[in-house]
Amino acid sequence: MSVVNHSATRTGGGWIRSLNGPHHRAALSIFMVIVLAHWAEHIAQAIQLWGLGWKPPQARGVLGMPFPWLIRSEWLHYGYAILMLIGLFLLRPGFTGRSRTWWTVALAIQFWHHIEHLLLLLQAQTGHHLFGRSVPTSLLQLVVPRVELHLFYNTIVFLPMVVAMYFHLRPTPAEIRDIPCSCHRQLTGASA
Amino acid sequence: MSGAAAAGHHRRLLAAGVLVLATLVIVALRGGIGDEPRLTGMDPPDGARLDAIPTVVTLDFADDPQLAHLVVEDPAGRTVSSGDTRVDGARVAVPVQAGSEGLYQVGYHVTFARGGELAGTTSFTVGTAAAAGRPAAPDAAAGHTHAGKDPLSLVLLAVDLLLTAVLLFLLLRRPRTRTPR
Repeated sequence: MSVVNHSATRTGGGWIRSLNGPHHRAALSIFMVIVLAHWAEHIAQAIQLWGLGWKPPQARGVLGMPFPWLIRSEWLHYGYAILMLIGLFLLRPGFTGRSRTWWTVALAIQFWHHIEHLLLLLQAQTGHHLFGRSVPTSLLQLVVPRVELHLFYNTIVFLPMVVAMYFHLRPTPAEIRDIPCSCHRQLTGASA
Repeated sequence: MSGAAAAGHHRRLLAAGVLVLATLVIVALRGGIGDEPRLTGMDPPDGARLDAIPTVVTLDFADDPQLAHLVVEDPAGRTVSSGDTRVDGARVAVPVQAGSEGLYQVGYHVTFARGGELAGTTSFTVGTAAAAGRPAAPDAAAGHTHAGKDPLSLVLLAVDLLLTAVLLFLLLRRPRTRTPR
C-alpha cells in the first residue's frame, strides 16, 4: 500500500523540500538580506537626491559610487529581477494559508516585472529599441517614465512580500499546524 | 541546536548583515562625488547656425571617457545619429545622417575612467528654419537613470522605507502565534 506524503506533495522533493523545511528560515533570511540590500541602494539614492541635493546622474546609490557602470547595466537589473523571481518561486512551498496567497501575488507581479527587464536586456543587447525610442524602453513606459515605473514595480512586489512574511511569522495556532518549515521551531518546540 | 538558539543565531546573522549594509551606505555617502567632469568643447558648437548638416558631431571633455552614448535628433524628432559612438582619447564622436532643416538636438551621457559621469544636451540649427516650438531634447541618460527627483518617486520611496522597517522588525523579532479575530 502506498502512503501519500502530503508534505512532500506540497513542498516538492529533494532539495526543494529541504529548502522549504529545515532550511526555510535560513533561506528566507538570506533572501530578505538581498531584498533589503536592494532597498538600501534605493534609500541611499533618495538620501543623495533629496537629503544631500545631488543631481540624478551623481546619485548612484552605494555600489554605483565606486562602480558607476554597474548602475547602468541592464544585466545587473535583469539579474536582480531573475534572482527575485527564483527566490519567490523556490521559497513559496514553505508558505501556507494567507501567507502563501500574498507570496503568490508577489511572485505573479515579479514574473511580469521580470518580463519587462528581459525586454530591456534584449533591447540593450540587440540595439533595437521598442517604439522607436533612442534607449531601451519598457512596455508600460508608454504610460509612466522608467524611473517611476520600475520603482512602482518593485514596490508592488515588496508590499505583498512583507504581508506574506507577516502572516508567515505570525501564524494563528490553527495555521501553525500546516506550516512545513523551520521558521516556527520555537513555537512548536521542535529542534533542528 | 535548539529552536530558540537557532532563531537567535539567525537574528544575529541578520543584524550583522544589516549593520554591514548600513556601514557601506555611510561610507559611500561620506565619500562624496569628487571633482565634477567637464565638457570643454563641441562641434558644432552649442547654438550654432549651419548652412549644411554636419556629417559627424563631436564632444570634447576634460577627462578621457570610458563609456559614451550620443544621440542626435533632427527637427522631426527622428534619431539621425548612426553607428556606434566612438571614443578617441578625450573626444567622443558619432556620425550623423542627412535630415531636414531646423533645430537639431544632441543628448549625451558619458562615464569617465575616474568614476564621474556627465549627461546633458546641446543643439544647433541647420538652414534658416525657426528653432522655436521644439519639444524636449533627447535624453541619452534617460534609459540609464534609476533615481528621479519627483513627488511620485518620493511617495513610493516613503512606502518602501516603511515596508523595509516592518520587514526588519518581523525578521529581528521572534516568531509568535497570532490570536485569530
